[in-house]
Amino acid sequence: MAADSPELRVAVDTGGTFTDVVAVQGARVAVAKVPSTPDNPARAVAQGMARVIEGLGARAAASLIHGTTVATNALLENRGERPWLVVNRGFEDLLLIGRQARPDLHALQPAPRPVLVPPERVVGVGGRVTATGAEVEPLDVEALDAVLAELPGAPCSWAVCLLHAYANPDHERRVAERIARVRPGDAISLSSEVLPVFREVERASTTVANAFVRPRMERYLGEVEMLAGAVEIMGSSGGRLPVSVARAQPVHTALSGPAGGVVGALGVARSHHPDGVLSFDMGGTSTDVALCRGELPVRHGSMIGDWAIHVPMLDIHTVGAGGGSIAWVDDGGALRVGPRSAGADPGPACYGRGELPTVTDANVVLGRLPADTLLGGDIPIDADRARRALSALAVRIGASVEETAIGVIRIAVETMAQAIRRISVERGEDPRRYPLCALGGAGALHACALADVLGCPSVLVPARAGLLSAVGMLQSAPIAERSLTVLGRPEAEIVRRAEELSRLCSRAAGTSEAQVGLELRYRGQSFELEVPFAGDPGEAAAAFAERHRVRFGYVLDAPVEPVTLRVRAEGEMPPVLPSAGSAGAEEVMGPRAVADLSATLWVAEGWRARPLADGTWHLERS
Amino acid sequence: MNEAIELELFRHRFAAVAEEMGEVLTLAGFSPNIKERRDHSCAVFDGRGEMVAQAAHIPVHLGAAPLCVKAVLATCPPGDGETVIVNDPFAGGTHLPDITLVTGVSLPGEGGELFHVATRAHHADVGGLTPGSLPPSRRIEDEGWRTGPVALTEEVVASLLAESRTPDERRGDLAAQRAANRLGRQRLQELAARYGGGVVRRQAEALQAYTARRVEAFLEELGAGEARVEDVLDDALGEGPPVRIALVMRVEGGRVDFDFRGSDPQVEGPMNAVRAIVESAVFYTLLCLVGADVPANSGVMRPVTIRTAPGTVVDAVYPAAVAAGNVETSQRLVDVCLAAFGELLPARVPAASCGSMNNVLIGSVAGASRPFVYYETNGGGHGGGPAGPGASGMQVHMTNTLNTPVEALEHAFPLRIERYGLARGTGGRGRYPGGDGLERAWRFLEPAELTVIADRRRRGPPGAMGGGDGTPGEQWLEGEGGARMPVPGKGTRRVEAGAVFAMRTPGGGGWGSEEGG
Repeated sequence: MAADSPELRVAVDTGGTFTDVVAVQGARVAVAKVPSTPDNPARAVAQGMARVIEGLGARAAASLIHGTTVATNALLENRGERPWLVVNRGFEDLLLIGRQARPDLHALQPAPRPVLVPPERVVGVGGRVTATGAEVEPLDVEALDAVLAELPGAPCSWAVCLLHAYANPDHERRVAERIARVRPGDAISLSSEVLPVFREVERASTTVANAFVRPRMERYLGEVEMLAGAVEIMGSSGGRLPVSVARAQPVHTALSGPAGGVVGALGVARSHHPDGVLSFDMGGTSTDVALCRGELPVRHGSMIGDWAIHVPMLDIHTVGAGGGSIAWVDDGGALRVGPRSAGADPGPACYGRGELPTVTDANVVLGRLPADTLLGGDIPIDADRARRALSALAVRIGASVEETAIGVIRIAVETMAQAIRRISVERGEDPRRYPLCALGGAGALHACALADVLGCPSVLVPARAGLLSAVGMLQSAPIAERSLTVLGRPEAEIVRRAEELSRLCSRAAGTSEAQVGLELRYRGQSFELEVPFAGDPGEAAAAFAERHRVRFGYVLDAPVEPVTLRVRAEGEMPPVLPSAGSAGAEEVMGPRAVADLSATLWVAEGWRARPLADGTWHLERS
Repeated sequence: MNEAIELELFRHRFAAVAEEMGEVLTLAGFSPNIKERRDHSCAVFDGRGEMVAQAAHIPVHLGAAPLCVKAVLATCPPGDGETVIVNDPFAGGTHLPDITLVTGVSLPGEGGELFHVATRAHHADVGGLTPGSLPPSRRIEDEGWRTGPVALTEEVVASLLAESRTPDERRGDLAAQRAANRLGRQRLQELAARYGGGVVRRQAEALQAYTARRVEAFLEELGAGEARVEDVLDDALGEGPPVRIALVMRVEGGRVDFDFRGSDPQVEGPMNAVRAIVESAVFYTLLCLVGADVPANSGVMRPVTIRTAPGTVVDAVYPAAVAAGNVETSQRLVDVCLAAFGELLPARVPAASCGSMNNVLIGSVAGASRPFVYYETNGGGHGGGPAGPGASGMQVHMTNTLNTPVEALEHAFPLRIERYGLARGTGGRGRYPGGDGLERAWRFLEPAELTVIADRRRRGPPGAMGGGDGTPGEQWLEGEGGARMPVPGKGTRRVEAGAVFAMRTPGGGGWGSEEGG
């Protein structure tokens, strides 16, 4: 390979079943799908990279952008070494209590609240700071010193979360100094650095999650860093993070994988429907949906498994229905789909191992997933087995096999539609305004049905729809974000802080400017609305009132208070990927299946699909 | 189309209407109580006032909502797009802070009775003796603004605002309820336009019949049996004799009869419950036992009869005070319903949970730096049960609100939290011990008025299958040097700046004997 050839950029998205790889070098693109290696995901990353590097005849990758599930899986599985947590004395049970609500309203016996830190690893220190940051009781680290004196030498991870530390981080910093002096090798996560935002349970939960995943993320990144000249990690909020940030604050990677898909969908929106799209990423066990309105949809809090994580992340909603969801009949005689899934093992009946009918099997029975399709690249379809699984169900409800299959798909689609409508209303939107952008292994198969139920005007299926997360990563920009609660602060200080954070973020993202937002509320409200902040608090208050009116339909003659600064800087976006071009493709009238390398598209009856120049399929009702 | 498929599709469609209403109410609500604690519910009703679907965050609204809509239909039925407001406990409400708006919905392309959508939301202050409108009251007149079903007009709103201590909040919350009803009506009409009004009607009925089948299947499995259970509320108003709730439950042939007629007469204090609360307690208990996936609609109550005697503490009549019936007596009603099922299904039903919402209300007094009302319900221990030890420090049964973050509270109110943790060892002993209660201490930085409405202060939540009782709750004022001055479970007092008020909530009952038999 000539030394002056364009540099090779690679994106790798680790998924539950497959690891997807997309590489670009000048005008050339190579893709690969290799089985994931959950015991050490870095192995599949290396294998996939080797394959595309070889495919392009290159020697090594200049850069790697990686969507990793290391943090996500650690949090979902809740296994591994426990961190220590330092809190105020008298508040040691903070996370055991949480917000007091139980997750399932009608559970006969709710399970005790799970925690990442067991009670014996929580240390209470004396000292207290008020809401304005004033110290009313000096720090007393006696209890911490006692623990430090007893602790064996192996490295530990620490989380420190003290009340009102966003207003005054002094006590947290002194606790960190204390720990570092005795145990210089330990990783310490301070709430005032991870998330200097008020509401102690969510801040503590986020800080503890960070401390919990940090050791294994450090180990993992050590391996991944060897694989390319420059390595970056996909952040939950849809931008690239330097390895140093992912290492110190791995909690920012909790949505690393799905974030790529949304960036990819946003790219499709920018080319074909700038107002926005509804991205619909349907996989085997779950479906991720997001509303992309011309920019990345960011939210400042979500649950990852059982844990409240309140750093910025893309506003992705996960529905527990996918191709592997199992259909069954309940004791009231209703046909149900999910929440149980056949997963990857045994998988849908048509994979040749399971017996239970799934959504995927229903698609096989109806010919929407043609019998010659290779699932995930190499598993042939067992159509007879799918039909047998469905017919048992058909007998129970007294319908034909085809009617049953149609019903299973409609119910799965209705479940997803219900979730999409709810999140749209929650965000003050109407899904009928947006095309559906279908991605993931099963998205394009169900897109027409879902668009019909939701009333979406059209469907967009991007080229490489089954690899769109990796494609999105290649198109993402470097990002830096900071939040800070400024409740009760003087105006001059808020302005000064905004400028500081703005400088910090733009420098980190390698750009000259940052977007500065300010969240405000009427005094007495417990929620905030964000408006752009250009340094004039009065202007922000007026903008807040206007947003309140538009969003909620009323304004009040009540004082408005600034609550939290939200600053975000995005660096330069890399060049657009060369088109996948569906050269020679022609318009397709439904009903008909169109198989692509990475996903199958079902053009439903009453729909037609038109190939666009960049390889995207554009579907409309005919 | 096939009935099994259609049923499931419409289950999602009706549920979506109620859930979307809930999102709008949460989104547009003003007060922390509605916005953050989600102390509200939204539901869809058919032409007879039967509930088709509900998005509930608060179980105490479950069975009460259909009674409310039926009361509205009987006295002041709204036309299409018209809205009726009600909170009178003796005319469709449960306690005065819970305000319900009911809107009529015509299904396009069809005659027939109107459908309805309704929202019920807890308004943080509707007047009455003390801030927060959960006063130690003796008559309904002590408790605040009250209206039977009337058309929602500006005059009605103005009269509520005039009595509330926080009128801006009320205006915002009512606007949010209206917006939710508007959306619910629109969505129902879209469903009818798409699938046909007749189909929507038929499926609304099919869905209730489905739920009834699921409940009947559960009851049939139980066979035939009778359980007699009694439990008590500590007292009517912080002192005096216990107040008894008695239940005779009979199960036979897939039906169940709840007979509460042996309960004590209504009392001169806020602990009286109207009958709607009994309906909610029964509804909630059945949902827990049959399975959380059963759609919450009126079908739950088809195989059920409930008998109460007017003038008793579970079927209060005018002029009874009822403020705490909704929050405290409701919990005891669930305790007796679950205990009755426990007699028939001892291996499945957990021991009693904390049994109180442990209500704390703190309001400003004259001369305050600014007026405020702070309301918090506090969780406790859940009962141990066949699945293992009870959960600790969690809301139980009839409520599930979020607590106020310490940092948010200290910004908003002249209070400082001194400590907040689990009260270890308060759960009842047993093979599977009860969960622990909470202990929380508030320092007053300004003088303010403190109201406590709490129960299970005399006897702790009972254990089951040989397990021990949970430790009763307790509250006190802390003097200098740690001296404790007990505070009764129900009452109001002025607290001076610098004082510390502490509450320890009850632990849950233990399950099974410790010897592990």
